[in-house]
Amino acid sequence: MLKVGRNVFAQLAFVGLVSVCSTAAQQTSNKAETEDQIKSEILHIEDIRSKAMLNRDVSVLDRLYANDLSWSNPSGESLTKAQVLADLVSGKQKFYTVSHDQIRLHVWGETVIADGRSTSTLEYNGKLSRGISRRFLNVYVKRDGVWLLVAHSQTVIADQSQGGEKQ
Amino acid sequence: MKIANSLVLGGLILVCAMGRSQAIAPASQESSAELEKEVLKVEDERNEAIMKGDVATLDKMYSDEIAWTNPHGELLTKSQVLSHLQTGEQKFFSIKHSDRHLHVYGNTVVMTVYTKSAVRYKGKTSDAPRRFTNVFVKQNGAWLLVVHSATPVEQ
Repeated sequence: MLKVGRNVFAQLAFVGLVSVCSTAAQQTSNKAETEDQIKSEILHIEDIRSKAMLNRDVSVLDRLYANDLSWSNPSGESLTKAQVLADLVSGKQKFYTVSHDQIRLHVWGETVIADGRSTSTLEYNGKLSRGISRRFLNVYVKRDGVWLLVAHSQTVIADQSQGGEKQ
Repeated sequence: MKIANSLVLGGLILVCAMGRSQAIAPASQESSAELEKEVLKVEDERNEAIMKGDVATLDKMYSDEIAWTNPHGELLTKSQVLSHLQTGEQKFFSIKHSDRHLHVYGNTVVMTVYTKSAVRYKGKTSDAPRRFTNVFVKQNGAWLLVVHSATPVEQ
């Protein structure tokens, strides 16, 4: 009886150890894979968004932007989703080129922070902005399986020679 | 004996499965209003620490990977932000925030604020209006600031 009991505990310990090790390894592997997948999804959405802005395709942007979107433009104006889309429709805002670089992505579960530098050529309120570098921030959140842009802000880089990276 | 072994193994698998499902379940079931209240408290504590130059408190509140853009469009790291306060390169004289809006998305809170805080940066003091966005993420039960992005408001 004693022999049988020892056998059972040895089996239990072995199974428990294998279970813990495989679960931990799987979770680490899954996390890395998921983060890479998420980053790839967000970059794809950013491409779609850039094309939609250039083509003034408001119906695509309407689907990408959360209804309670927080938007700060480079003039420090706080705009609603409806205002952002209406500005594109009316031509108050027009994009001539969309150019983004220095993009960094941070994944926080179902939230992704994307920031980078924009040198897009655009017109806003009759004022043309060409060759001016701006820092942008985009915050994406996954809702019901869909990535939505929930916050956007832009800041003009005061020292254009530095490109916004403090030396 | 085979039956006993099977029962014990079955129990073990069940316990492991339960542990796993609890780990996957959402960490918090708090309401949006409760989360907003928590974040506002953290933001108030942050402002107090900024005024005091309490870098140790800010170190705990700021994520190591924080994405920080100041109103000059400079992209700063956490260590740069904290060292500016420590060395006096940046000094706050007053905190004047208004028009605060919070949006809760699960364990993420987006906050937008209009500010006229008086601050000295690189020898220049200004209380010119700015608008900033802060993003807080809850990790291991604590709210971390992961984004701060400020933009001057044209007058």
